[in-house]
Amino acid sequence: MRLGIVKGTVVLSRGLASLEGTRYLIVEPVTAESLKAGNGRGGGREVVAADHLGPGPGQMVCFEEGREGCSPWLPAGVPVDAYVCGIIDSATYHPTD
Amino acid sequence: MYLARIEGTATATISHKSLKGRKLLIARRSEPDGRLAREPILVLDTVGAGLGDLVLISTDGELCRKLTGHKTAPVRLTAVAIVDHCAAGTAGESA
Repeated sequence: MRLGIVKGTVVLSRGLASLEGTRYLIVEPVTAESLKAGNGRGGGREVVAADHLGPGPGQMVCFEEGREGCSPWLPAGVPVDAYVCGIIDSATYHPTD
Repeated sequence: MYLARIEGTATATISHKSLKGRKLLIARRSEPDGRLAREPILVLDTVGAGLGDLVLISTDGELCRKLTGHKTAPVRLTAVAIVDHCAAGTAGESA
């Protein structure tokens, strides 16, 4: 997983039926620099991630990418490869460089 | 698999059921020479890795499904070993 800041939502117009019923968030990955500064910023390149948890704008989440992104739908198949796994309550971070 | 340095921990109370109550480690991928990636990653732990440890990361989602006991666990990174030492340019030597 990576850490990300919720930047917004994506509303779909027409798409595959299997994508319906899910929220899609714009998530900005958090860099080590941002996490260390604790400034609530991301700093990485934004991705779109499927979401079932409902975090608000500015909240920090963890999201998984790749094949496991669609695991929550198993055994059904959906073309999702980024999924919000959790809303981060607390993080302690001590960069080693 | 690749190397990563453990740099922290995170908790997520509101999460996928497979991650409920589970401590997550914050790590950064490390090159063999010690250079660290720009973005941290969050990984599951099987070896009791702690702050500052250099670990071996597996991207085997099946392991995560077994560890969490959930077939639908949307996670794929696990710290599967603590690295004793790592010497680049010594391929071929036995452990």
